[in-house]
Amino acid sequence: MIPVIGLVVGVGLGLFLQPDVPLWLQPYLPIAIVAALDAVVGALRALGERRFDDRVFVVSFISNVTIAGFMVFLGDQLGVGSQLSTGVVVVLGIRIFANAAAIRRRIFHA
Amino acid sequence: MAVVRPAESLLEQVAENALDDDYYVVRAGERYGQRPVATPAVGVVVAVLAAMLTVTAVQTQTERPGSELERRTLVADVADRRDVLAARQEAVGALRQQVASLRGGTAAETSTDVATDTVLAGARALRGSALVVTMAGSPDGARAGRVTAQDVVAVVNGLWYAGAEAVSVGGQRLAETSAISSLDGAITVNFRRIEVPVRIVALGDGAVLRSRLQSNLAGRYLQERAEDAGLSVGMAPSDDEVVPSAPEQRTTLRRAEPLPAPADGPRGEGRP
Repeated sequence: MIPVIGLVVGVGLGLFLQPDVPLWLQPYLPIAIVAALDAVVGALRALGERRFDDRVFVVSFISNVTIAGFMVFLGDQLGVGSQLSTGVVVVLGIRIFANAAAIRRRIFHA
Repeated sequence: MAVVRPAESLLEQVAENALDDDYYVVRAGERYGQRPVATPAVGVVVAVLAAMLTVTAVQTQTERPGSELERRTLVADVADRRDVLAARQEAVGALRQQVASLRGGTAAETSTDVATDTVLAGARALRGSALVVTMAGSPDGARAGRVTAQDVVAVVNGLWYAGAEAVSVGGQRLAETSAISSLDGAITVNFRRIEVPVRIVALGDGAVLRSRLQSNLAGRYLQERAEDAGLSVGMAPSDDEVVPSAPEQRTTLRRAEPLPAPADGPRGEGRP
């Protein structure tokens, strides 16, 4: 129940406040979202495999977002921001797809 | 024999270990245990994710009109520039055609050229400041003291040399084909008799013309004639004099034809 409430609260906050994302944060936000999605899909898979652990989920979420943001920041400083962003998105995308495939296999046995 | 490990690329490894190892480490072997899913921490994390997604989506949505407007402005700009380019190219084509026809010499001369040419050819009367040179024979009427055509030619040449812009002798405008000669002891200009004293009007700055005429060859010639034969020469700058047009026969060409103007100059300067 609490995760659903969190979802509703988050969407509501975003819609009501509609804060302007500061310019310096704008390149990191999409990457952070992809990283967070990876953590969430991983958590869903763990849930299905009955291995879910909220502490691992929270830590992996925070570390994923932080590391992804840091890599983009580093890339910006080195002048290869877009390339590193692409790399991060590719790796996280593969993970997301692999986890989604595992979930699919578990549910549909296919 | 060494065991050959199956080649694993980086991406394969990533796909293989898609799930964080921590889940296996924390719950190794153990199946769905005590830890509940619905904890406040999970709620907070989910809320943060939802907020991030929403904010980014909203931001992208609100920024779209701006970029759309920019794009439309750019497209309009491109179209405008294309129009300008087309117009310029059209103008270039028209001008090229004009240049070609002018080079061919078949096009009618422009009005300014005609006006300038008629003025220079002497076909139009002119007015302006001038130097008036009056030449009279010696008072005693001696034969040597008469004004001759040669005297007039010398003065006219001196005036041209001094920078006169148009010259008339005894009311006859000197044009391209004018001749100064003598007939039966009388001076003729444009084949018309000229009265003595001869009145020569030279358009230009009167004072400058006088000083230059006096200092050049013609001036010295006149001085000699005055001293030797008693010729009387008067030079008076005038602010307003009129030089008539030359007779029509003197500004009309029957046989001669202008050469086409060369490309690098406005006039036909004799290059075939």
